[in-house]
Amino acid sequence: MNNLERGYCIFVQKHSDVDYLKQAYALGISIKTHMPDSKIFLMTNLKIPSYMQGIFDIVGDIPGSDLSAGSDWKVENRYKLYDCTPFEESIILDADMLVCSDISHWWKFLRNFNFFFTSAVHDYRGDTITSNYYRATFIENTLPNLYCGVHYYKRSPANRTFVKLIKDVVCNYKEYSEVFCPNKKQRWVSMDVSVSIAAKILGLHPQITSTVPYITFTHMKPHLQGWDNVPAHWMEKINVCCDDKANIKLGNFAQKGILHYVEPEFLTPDLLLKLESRYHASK
Amino acid sequence: MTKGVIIFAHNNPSIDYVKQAAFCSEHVDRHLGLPVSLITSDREYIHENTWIKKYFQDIIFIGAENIRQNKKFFNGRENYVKDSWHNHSRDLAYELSPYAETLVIDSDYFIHNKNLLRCFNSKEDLLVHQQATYLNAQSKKIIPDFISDAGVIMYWATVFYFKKTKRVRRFFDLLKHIRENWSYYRFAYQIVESNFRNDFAFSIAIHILNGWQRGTWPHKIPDTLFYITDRDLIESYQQDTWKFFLSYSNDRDVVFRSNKINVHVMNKLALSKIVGENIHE
Repeated sequence: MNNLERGYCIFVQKHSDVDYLKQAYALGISIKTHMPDSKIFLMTNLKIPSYMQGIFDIVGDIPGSDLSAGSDWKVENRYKLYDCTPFEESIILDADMLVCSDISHWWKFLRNFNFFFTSAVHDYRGDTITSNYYRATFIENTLPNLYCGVHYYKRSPANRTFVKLIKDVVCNYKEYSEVFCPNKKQRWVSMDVSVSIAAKILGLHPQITSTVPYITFTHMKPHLQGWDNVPAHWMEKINVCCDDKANIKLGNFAQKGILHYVEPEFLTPDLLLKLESRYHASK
Repeated sequence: MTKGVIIFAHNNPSIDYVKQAAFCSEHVDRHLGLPVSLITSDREYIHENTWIKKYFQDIIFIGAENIRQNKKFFNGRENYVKDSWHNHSRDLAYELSPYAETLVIDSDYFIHNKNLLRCFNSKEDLLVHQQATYLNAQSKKIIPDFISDAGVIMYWATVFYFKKTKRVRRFFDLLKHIRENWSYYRFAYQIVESNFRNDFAFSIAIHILNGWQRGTWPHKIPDTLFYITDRDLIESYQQDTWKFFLSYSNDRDVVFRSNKINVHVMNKLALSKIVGENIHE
């Protein structure tokens, strides 16, 4: 099998407050710890420090003009991954994630799709999240409930129209939002909303998602955790435990699959050190 | 394979748990036809009330607990007594049970049908209730699914079945460890209540043995765990039929007649009166 057939893609753009590159590095380590043969593509406008270089197999610049100038969230350029990924099949991940167990069996399921987005995410206890707290835009405007945090993309002619439309929605987010989100708008550009609008326009969502929580991730936004008393930050509510083998427990629940930790404070120097130690031990 | 039932009973000045266990045992005998062993620290009480031995196949004496904890025992919404609560011996069930297959029940759990006999035909080594159902359907659910807001899934120690396997031995060893280190586990699992509770220890031990995650072990008991709380009142008991006044609002109670269902009667003070009327020399 060609090495570039499959791989993981991470997008990082320079941000004034959050060190997304460090997050991408931690994610890369976690991928290679559990799946040593994996290939990782990083798209970034940052210079990669030498100690990180062994983790990313391919690094590419963000092409074209910066669409995120003046934006806080820096996601507007993310769709460029679809054009630039070196892999025939890609799993695209948010930088603020960690892979906590081997997910290589996902490929077998995902090859049945051209695109795949999960519609069902988990809380830290492993329960499927039912709260729509952060999803008012989707509910009020009957958009398909897609999460881009982890998604699958196959380089295929069948995806051309969809990718083109995603780009158009991102580049003209305000106009699309006026038409497709009349009841509740999300003012900042969101990949989740953009992809959902594009999927709705093309009527694609039955083909690109499933509510079966097989391909999913643990989503740590605090209002999704099934708590009665919800703090502003989930780390105020539950303890984080990481043993010497970098096995992570949140609130005494062992984490498997993909953990979307959301809060940058989660990635402490101590945790990063443990992730690095385990990675080096696994080599 | 020997089969039987175990009941733990440790009296306090307000509640005669041993007599309660006798009442409970009488129900087991009538509906399940299984022998019952009592595990108690009330040696003197038994010597003074030898007639109570007839309710049990065996009485197993253990030492008194050296940990003292108190709790409020309610009898309805407002009345309560504060007294000692001895619940630290449940993890001895494995080593003390004279049976190969054991059903352990609380002394305030009353059996009115044969449902629990199905446990003994199971291939499982441990069967526990994961959910409890309040008989007051009009009341807001008062017992959560988790041991705390951010905690692990709740399991109930009110009634459970076990076989003597290596895994179950490990489970009971872990229960003991949790009890002995309760202040740590209480803190680590964010339990608000300061008292040790077997339900919490069960929940934590099951969580740990499932690899710190939701697991498929143990299976559920083939029955529903119905209960009334100590804020509810018992109006009467006659021929396996309970009549409860279930607490609903400040000026209203819901009347509920329970018949042929197994029920956990948590109002032990009101229960004492019923027991006194039905169990005597």
